[in-house]
Amino acid sequence: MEINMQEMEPVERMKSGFEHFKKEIYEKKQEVFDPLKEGQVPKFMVFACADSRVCPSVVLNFQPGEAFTVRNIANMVPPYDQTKYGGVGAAVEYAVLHLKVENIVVIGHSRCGGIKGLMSVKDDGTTSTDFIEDWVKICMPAREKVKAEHAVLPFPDQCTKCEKEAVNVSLENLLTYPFVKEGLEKKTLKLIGGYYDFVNCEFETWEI
Amino acid sequence: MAALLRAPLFSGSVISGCEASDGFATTPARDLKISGSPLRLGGTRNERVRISLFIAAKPSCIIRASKDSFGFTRELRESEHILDEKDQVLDPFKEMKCRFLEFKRQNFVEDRIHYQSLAQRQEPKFMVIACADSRVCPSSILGFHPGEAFTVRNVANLVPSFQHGASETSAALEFAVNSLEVENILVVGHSRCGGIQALMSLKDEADSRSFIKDWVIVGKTARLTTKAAAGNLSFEMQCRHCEKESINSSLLNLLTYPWIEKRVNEGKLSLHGAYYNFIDCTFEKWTLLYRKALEGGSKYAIKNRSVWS
Repeated sequence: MEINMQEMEPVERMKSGFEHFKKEIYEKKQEVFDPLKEGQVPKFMVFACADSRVCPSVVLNFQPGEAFTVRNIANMVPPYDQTKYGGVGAAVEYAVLHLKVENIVVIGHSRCGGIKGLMSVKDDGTTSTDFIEDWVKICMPAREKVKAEHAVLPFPDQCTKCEKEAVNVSLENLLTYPFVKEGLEKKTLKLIGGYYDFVNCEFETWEI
Repeated sequence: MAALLRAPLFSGSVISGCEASDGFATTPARDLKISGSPLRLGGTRNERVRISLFIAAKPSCIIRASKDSFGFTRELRESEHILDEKDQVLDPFKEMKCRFLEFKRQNFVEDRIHYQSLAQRQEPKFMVIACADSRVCPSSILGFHPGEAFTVRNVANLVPSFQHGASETSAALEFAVNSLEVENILVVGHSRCGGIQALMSLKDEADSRSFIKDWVIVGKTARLTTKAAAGNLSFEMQCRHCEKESINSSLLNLLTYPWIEKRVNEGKLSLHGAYYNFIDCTFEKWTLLYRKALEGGSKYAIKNRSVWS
């Protein structure tokens, strides 16, 4: 595009984007969008980071209706706990019990600020933020594993290891939700880990 | 839109695609490597392994896939579509691989300098809070490109107040405002929202608990104002009303965060609400005006409301 999107006034930027969407996508794919008015039947639930560079719709070209998508800092899934971080539980509950998704994918990524924050949390546990450090500590087991197994690696490489280990921690945390466990046992649900490296433009997947 | 069918996916694969300067392979592709899952892979892999590989039609890529437990490799060259042997249907992850390779070809390869710059840092001007609903991805609707919008998605695009305490949305707000220093926060609601419907369906008396109920109650102020303003309307109309009310409720909740209020007062941060109606494909947006020092009258007002259709 000739127009530099970054220089557009914010509202103009949004308007331009919407008009393009409506004209080039919505109106040209009525057969896709008409059924979506009635309901959504996504086969995927996706956890991705809120990082502006890693939208799964862009990277994996998910079309409207395909992926129920949660995005938060460092794509984390806390363990089952009805008293804290229940917003994630609400999303998983809705996706598994109501939408009946077939796959839950947790996608980590390179140069993740949230994981860097996790790796930077002080050893004595003191925090300097209102919410961030408390949130990223969800994946403390990943940090401990990396620090134990890769102590000699430089900090950036430790962060890369942690980005992937944290996905595994989140996948394990998903198993603490009874309805997820049940779905796996009945083979109606699959858990998948993913890692998007935008430095080298590679995408990795694995299954548990 | 390809139907994504349930099929077992190969466990562990890396798509590196092909080095391409003009979209086609000019140098040998890097090998796929399998990341052996650190989790209990063996226990789930008694079934016959189906390995489906896709290679982009034009580049000739060498992709090797090996599975650690079984230790065999296959090497494929040139354009080849491998169908699932048992079902003759496409493996959904083959579809994802295809899309990723296309994304790489159209974006990363075509605009390498921009992506290399993005890899160093992100400087989005927007933070967007949208619903997790599969139909309303803000990147799709508003055409946000990588790097433009730090995006949080949760059930019913709700923003809890600062006093609510720890939440995933609060952590994301803190990062976006204090670290990334975004200039705009946009809360986008939408039509036929299941989360808002759940909020409006809550019974006044104690009910069985669920994660959904415990979360959507964050929007209880919107439910109250909706009942007051539109209680005589049909349930569906009340839900429509609440979808918009909850956006405003979330905007006001944003101002309960001290570091957000400070930046709004300083003119460094703007708060916007928006409503995407996918029934008629319209997009309504407005900006919250906050006049902290206003004597008398309401501190809050709406400005610059417009509807795009």
